[in-house]
Amino acid sequence: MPTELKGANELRKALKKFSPDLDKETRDEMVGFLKPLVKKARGFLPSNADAPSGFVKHEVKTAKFPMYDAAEARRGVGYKLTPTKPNRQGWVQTVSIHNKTAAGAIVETAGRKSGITGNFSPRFSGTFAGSRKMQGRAMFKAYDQDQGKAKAAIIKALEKAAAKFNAKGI
Amino acid sequence: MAELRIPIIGEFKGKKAFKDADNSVKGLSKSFKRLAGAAGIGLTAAALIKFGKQAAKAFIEDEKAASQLAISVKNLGLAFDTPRIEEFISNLSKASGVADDVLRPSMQKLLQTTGSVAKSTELLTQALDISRGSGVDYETVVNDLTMAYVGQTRGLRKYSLGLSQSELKTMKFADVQEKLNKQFSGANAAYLDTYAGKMGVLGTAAGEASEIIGKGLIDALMILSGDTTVDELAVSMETLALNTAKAVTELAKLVKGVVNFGTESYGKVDNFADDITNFLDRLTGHEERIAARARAAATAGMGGYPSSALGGTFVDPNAAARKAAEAAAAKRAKELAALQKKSLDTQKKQNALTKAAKILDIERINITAALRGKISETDRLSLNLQLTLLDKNDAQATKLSGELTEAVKRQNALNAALLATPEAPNPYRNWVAPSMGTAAMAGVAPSQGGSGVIPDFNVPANQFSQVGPLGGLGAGVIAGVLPTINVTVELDGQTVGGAIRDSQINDSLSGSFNQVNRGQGFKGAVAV
Repeated sequence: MPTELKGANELRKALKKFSPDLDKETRDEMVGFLKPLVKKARGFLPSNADAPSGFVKHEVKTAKFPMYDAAEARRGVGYKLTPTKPNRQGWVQTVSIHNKTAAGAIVETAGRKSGITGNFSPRFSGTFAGSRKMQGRAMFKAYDQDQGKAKAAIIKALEKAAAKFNAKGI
Repeated sequence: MAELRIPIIGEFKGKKAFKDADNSVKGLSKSFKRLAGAAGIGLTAAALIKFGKQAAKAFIEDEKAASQLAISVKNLGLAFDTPRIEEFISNLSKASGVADDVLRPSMQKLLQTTGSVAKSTELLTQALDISRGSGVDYETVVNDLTMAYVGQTRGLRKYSLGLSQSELKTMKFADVQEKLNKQFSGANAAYLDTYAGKMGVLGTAAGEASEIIGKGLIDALMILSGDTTVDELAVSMETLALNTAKAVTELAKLVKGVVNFGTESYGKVDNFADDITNFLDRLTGHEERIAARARAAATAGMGGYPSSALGGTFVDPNAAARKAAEAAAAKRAKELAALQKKSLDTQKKQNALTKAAKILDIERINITAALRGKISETDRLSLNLQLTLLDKNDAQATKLSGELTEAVKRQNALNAALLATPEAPNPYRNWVAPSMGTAAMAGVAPSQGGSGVIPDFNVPANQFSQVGPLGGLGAGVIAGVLPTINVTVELDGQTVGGAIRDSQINDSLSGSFNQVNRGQGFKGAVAV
């Protein structure tokens, strides 16, 4: 679950408009905490050799099921510092990390609901970490192992930026 | 599959707003239900909201039209007459069943054209009769009257006044007005006697009631929200739901009052509309406010409200100004009439000149063309005389006229001489055709073997049998009796028979096989 930080979006807007330097400083600071998280998540994604052979991208495409390419899947893991559109529950995500590609998402979640059974999910070497909907092999695992340190640092960075911004008296 | 995302920092934007809106709607719905119960009528919350909206909208539009009229009147320098005009429109609307939304723009148009309140009210009333009588809608009638006032009478054709376009053009507005009055007078009164007319009046009264309720509703909202203007009210829209709930409760009391009043006082249909309007006026203080405004304006020297409404001792401070305005309008009307007359005269002259010029040109062209052709002396003189007359050259005209008279005389004398000339005799009347016998050669010159004497062509009567070898018809032919001619032909029988036989053989060989091999016991067969 996200931590709600009231006014974070407005603060980012105000910083961008009235204090671009402070905005860049804050952004860099947040990126500094998010990059290791993303790097770690990318590291949990299996190489092509470790992934199930039929799932790995090959010349003859037999079905519409997404095919895995390690490089592509790793590129799909990243972070976002701009607010998203509100979801159906009314939440806006100010800072988030994501695993965008379909194949990467399959690696992340295969066997999460139905268990590690059959011919597909047992072939992934990585283990799950996290709980319930926050359970996964790569991004969720990295986030779980981070133990909320990145989140705390980002909140702190934003609070610091707000304090600085207010101190400037703009 | 939706992309996977871990929100690290988030912000809740929607849920609270949804919840607030939800609560507001629920609260409003409950209020409306209570209102329907209190009013004892089966109004649903949605119906009430719709009615409230319509009422408020009607009031806003009415106020807008009133404001436009007031500004127009003020700009014409007749601001002191605004209450009088408003009262007139209100009364006319009640009496005629025409909504004040229609009357106000019409009044504005007439005032802008005539500049006179008296004339405008007169025309506005007359337009009612014309509209009812002709079936043309009220606004069009007012527009036509406005145009006619400034001399543009084209629009009046549709009323079938029995006048030609040229008559309409040349008529004064007063005459037009009289003609219209004569034709349509009393049409509105007759219409109001009908059921449709009464329903129209009732409908207008209901519309007025809706406007009054709309005003009350907006006032109530403003009072409840603590705002002093509609703009501020709009700013306070966040609390509108709560305020609306309270306001509609007040509205329910009002509606209940109307229902009770209607039940108690309902008698004649004619009076019911007035009763509703009067009741609502009293209930909302509309009447008192009008009177109070008029008194205040009168005290401040801006009045003009009828003295009947302000007591018998009231002296209108604007009487002089009104008189001056009317005089100015009358002067303007006279000027307009004079201008119209002048314009018509100029137009007439222009038309006559154009026509004359056209005729002259055509005549001149025709005469010149005719003179170029081969014509008699008399015609030439006539054409020259016409040209001279066109040029208005008296001396030349007199001279030519004399010449023409002489020429005509000569022409007549010649005609008479021709008529008196006797018939010329036939030069061959004594000539007799000679006979065509051998003796005819006698007429040939001696050098050519003839005798040189003219032959006698007279054929003896009944001697047609004596036709000579050189021909010549007998006297019977000449007399019309056809003679009998006997012809004897002698032929060689062998030659003719041979030719016929050959012909038959040829025919049969070329397709008539029944003739082939027909002799010698053969019945006839195809020769192979």
